Amino acid sequence: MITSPCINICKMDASSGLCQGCFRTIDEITVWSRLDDAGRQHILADVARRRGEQAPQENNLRSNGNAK
Amino acid sequence: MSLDLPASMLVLERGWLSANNILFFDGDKATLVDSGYVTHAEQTVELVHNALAGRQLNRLLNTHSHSDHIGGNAALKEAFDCEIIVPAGLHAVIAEWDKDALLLSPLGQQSARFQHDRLISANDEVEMGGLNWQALAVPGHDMEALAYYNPEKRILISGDALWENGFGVIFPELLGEADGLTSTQETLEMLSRLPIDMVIPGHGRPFSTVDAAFDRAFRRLSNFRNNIEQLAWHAIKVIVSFAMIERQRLPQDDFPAFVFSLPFAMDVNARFLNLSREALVSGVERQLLLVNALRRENGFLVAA
Ligand SMILES: [Zn+2]
Repeated sequence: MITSPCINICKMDASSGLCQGCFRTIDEITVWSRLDDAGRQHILADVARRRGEQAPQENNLRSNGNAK
Repeated sequence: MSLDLPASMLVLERGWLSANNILFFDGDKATLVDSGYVTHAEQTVELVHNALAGRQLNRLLNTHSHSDHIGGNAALKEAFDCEIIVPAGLHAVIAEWDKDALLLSPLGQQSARFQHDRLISANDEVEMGGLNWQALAVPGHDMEALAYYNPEKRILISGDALWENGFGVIFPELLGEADGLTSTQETLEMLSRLPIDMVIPGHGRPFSTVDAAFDRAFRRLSNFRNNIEQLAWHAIKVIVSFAMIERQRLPQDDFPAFVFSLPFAMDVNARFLNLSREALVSGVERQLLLVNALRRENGFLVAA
């Protein structure tokens, strides 16, 4: 069984509509526990693509996180 | 293998900082079990709002009062005006917001204060998702904790009393407040006598490999009973790890002060391990790096 990509950041980015930690949408997090492996694989593939696209922004978020 | 839960239930599977949230639908009404950690409350409200799809959240029920299970209570109350129901044994602790008893101060954790509207006691029954759930006393990890069991579908909502791989830290034993090891043994024995097809744990995915989970839990408990230092060391690692997940990253040089600022870690060390401060810090750091709970990155320690 494919495990959840949650990394305990669990904060939504208002502009992208994605979780800042795991790059999933609210819908994708909501249905995760009901999905079979194929469905989860599908989300993970999207997550990997989004992570690649947003890597610079992710670094910004991480350094902002330091400040608090 | 996909896990078939009744359509009237939805598990919002979260991580380690936030406990899972379990949503039950009854027509246009809904009930939620546990609310996650306070720093994730905004996402919790969004997830619940999305899953409700126009239904009304009229009840929020807790398994116990640890920060990762009650942290979203205040935000959910604010967003949905739901009735909050907590285990009866926690009435005074929550009403007075006793940060020591809630373990917030000892563990260096945060929460948002709320008031409960009603209590639920062991052996009470509550209908959720068209199913009848029995509240079971599951003392050990938390002496006042309740689990919720549906005999018809043979589903157990276990909170932190039973996970796929172990159970929550046995705090009462380490705090010298109660015989947590014996209580955990009795709780596991009681639960293992129930017919259970599926466990929805406080953390981790729902699972149906119930016998294997009990085997692991009993084995782990017996290790702790034979060697209390193992429990102490395990607890310190869990608590430092949780605090680091919340913090996310820390300059390497600040790590010792960070560990020293967690009263529970210092207290458990003094009571059970008696390591020097240096040995405690280097031991925790080494072991958390070893299991990839931490990693080093340009002079920082980062929670994995
Ligand atoms: Zn707990």
